[in-house]
Amino acid sequence: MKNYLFLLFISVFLLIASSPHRLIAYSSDRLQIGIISGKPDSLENAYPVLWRQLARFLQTTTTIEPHPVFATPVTPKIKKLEKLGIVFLLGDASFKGFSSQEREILKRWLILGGGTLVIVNTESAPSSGPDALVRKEVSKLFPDKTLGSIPWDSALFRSFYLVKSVGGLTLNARFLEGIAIGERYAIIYSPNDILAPLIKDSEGSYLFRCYPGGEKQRMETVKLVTNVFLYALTGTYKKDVIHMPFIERKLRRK
Amino acid sequence: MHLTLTDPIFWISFGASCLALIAVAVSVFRSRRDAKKPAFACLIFRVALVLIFISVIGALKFKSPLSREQGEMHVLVDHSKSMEDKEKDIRKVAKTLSDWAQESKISARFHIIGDELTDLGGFQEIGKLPWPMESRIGSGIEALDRKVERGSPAVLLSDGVETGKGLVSGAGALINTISFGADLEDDIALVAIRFPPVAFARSEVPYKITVNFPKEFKTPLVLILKDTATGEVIGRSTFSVSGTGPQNVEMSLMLGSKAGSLHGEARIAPLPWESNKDNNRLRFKTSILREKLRILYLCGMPNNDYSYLREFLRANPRNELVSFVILRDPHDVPPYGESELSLIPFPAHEIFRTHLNEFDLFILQDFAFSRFGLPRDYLRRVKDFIAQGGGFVFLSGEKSANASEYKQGFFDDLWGLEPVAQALEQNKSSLIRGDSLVEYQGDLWKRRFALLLADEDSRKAWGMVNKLADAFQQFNVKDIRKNIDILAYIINKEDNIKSPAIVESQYGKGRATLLTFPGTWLWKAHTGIRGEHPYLYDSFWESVIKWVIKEEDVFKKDVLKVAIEKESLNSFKVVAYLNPMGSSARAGFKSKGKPMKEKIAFPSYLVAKLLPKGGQFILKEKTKGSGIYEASFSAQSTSGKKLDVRLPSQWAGVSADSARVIVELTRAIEGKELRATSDIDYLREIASLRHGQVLGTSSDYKEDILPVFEKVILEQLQRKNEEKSYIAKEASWFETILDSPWLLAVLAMLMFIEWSFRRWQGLT
Repeated sequence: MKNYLFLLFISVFLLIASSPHRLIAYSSDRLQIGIISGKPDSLENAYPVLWRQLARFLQTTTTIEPHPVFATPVTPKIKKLEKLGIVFLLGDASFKGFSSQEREILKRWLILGGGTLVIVNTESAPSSGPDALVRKEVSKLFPDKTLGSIPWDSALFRSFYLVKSVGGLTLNARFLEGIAIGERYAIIYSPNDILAPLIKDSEGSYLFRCYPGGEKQRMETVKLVTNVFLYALTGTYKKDVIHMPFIERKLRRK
Repeated sequence: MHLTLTDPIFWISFGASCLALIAVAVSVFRSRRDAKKPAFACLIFRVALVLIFISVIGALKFKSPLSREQGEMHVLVDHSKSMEDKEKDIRKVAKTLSDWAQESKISARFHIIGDELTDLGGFQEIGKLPWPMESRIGSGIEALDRKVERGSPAVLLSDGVETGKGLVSGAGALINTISFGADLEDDIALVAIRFPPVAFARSEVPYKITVNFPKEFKTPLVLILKDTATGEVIGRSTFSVSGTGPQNVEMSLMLGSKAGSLHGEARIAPLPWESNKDNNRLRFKTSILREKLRILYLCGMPNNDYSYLREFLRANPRNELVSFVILRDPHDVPPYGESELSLIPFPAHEIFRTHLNEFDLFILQDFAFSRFGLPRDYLRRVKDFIAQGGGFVFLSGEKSANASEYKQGFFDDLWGLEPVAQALEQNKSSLIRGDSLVEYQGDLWKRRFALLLADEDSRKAWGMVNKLADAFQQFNVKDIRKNIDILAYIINKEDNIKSPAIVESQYGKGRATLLTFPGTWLWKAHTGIRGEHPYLYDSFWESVIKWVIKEEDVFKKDVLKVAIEKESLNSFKVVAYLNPMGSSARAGFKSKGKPMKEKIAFPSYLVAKLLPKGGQFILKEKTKGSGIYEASFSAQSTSGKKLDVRLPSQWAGVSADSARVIVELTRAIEGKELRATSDIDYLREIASLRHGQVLGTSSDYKEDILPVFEKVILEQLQRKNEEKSYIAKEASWFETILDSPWLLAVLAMLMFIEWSFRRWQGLT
């Protein structure tokens, strides 16, 4: 009996200790992102293993230091967003939109809080459902602005890699869209699913094929996702005059 | 030729004419014994009487402006502080003038000038009144105008040092001047220096000096300008003078890159034979602004702190930002090859060896030199940059906390601190992590960071964010020096470790600020999402930057600052500075406001108006994007006048009314000009405005007057009397007779004499 109680105690302890929802030691100098999906308070979103892999990738590829708990599920509430600089919104069938209060909080976070919202349409098939809902929500957030294509000379496409196409699991659209506040894009919208191509299985092989471009399309997707993070953390840095000649030269060579 | 009753020639010729006529009459009477003789004699006699009568009338009609018994001259004596040591000279000159006036039969009235005139009984009373009185030359002249007739000649005995409102041009007394303190025999004196109240860094600023020297002095002089705060010589010029002093000399000074208040001293290198070397120096002050602020921002890794601070810096159009952020470590291996990367090599050599001193401010965030194999010498260059006057901000973080190059000779030299923990294992952070609390240090914090909000609001605002720090690099305080301030401590709640959080220090000629904790971006996110005090982050960084670049004492929380400079008697220059970040109007802002990422664009002009009843004019932006505006304007007098400067319309969330500045002209200009021992220019301006002349210096009048003095005064008296005579000419002969009853009495007497003679002689 005593052994069972002891085992029960240990199990409970381990369960609590391993809970991914507890922020062990939040550190503002390390990158942590929020995930808004149709299933709040849970990481049972479309890509449960993606974020860990993405954190690892960013750490080995760039100087970004991800937080040990890199991604955390959030809803547009003050307490959830106030310590985040980047939030991903996964636009899939389960996403039902925001309440007016959530919209107001999100808007303040974007305009005055300096946040960046990255919206990814995770429906692989060309579907108007999530896309239409996303556009509707964005227009409610910013009635005086509309989602517009992000030009190819934007710092977003040069923040780490030189990106020449948007990539994605399937190439439903050939450009990213966004809403700018001042010089920076506060909302970045990918009509293509740019997250799925990054997922690997336990053996390190990519889980999904990219269509129609195959591995080249995947490469552009990886580059674009990397750039999104660097853009959120560096802004228009790559549009500074000192970088321009070098970038132009490299683009001409390509 | 006009003859008067005072001219002897008149009486001689008149008398001779009368005698001649009478003699003729008598001769005719005696020589001819016919019936016509007595009548003819009477006719001649009556003609003589009429001639006498006409002569008398004519003499009265002729003007006599040089009738010296009717002349009056006013002597205005400057009895102010700057004249006190010249009392002896004043009395000598006044005596000379008084003696001349007496000899010339001109009445000399002496007055002490002030807001009202104080009449003196004579020159002997000079010095009996207590010294000093206020030097109100302009007011004194106006008081004289109220007292005397227009065109009355007056002589001003003064050194030209005006502390009042200055002279108003107008019609009144004619003011001639005799200058005091202007003649030197064995001395060179720096009399005045006019430096503009606002100047711009990295530009040439014109200024003017007034130098007094002995007559015919020809040796070149050397003027040395020194910053009294640092003792550094900031300018040296050689110039020459000629003729007689005092003389104005136009000079210029090339300013360096440093901004802030400049308190300087100008000194003419003394010559060995000078009797007084103390009067070779004068102090001056000006505020140096930067049209553009050159910022170098170097960050060791991309994070939200970099992103937010970079956007804050870019939002101010006055900032020229060059930033580098290290995106890849040497051991990072990005897939797809180098050709796919947009990265450029970090130009460390160019920055630290060549271009660092071209910047005004260097922000170094979480950067470890050892990570990239950069030499430790670069840290020495950073310290040299600060010592030579640069501004420096260091933000600690994970990478710099583990870097060995900072262990010695950096934190201790700059801030008197010693880092506590050094990571011994790779990937282990030296940052203390966990729940922490920032403890602001009372008055120091308030002075630096509570500028934009009322006290209660400020307390609430800072109270909102002091629990957000969750990691910091721990330091021990090694050496508290006088020039180091710890503005806040950070306390780890778990083990009560207390460590300096924000530290400021003066290092050489520059300033350095250290933040030992990352995460100020959370202040922006935390306040922004709530819509409460969303400018707290902006105001914090604005204050940090203003302090390190030494502009915190130039412009504080004002949105708009105005400085006025007097260019000449009635001409002024106004400089206005628009501060895009400082805005008390934005305190208490709630949900509406300006987004963080938008760049602030300055308006291209400001609007100014002279009150009351003045015209409106435009202040144009000095260079595009500088936020500095200039214009010149005229004003007849500064008394009661104000200048109203405002935005053309709402700008950056600030209403035109809330950024409006109204400046009283007198208050703005008084005290700004450092007048010294004499201002001959001012005396010349007075003489010119009031149709008088400069009659020389005091040394010219100690024994006797100059010929020019007599000529000018007498001409002025004559002109004044001409005006009176002119008025009198308008009256008729008949009115003249009626105005002079004694004339009728003379006529009656002459007629009676004639009648008596006729009766006596039995003539018809």
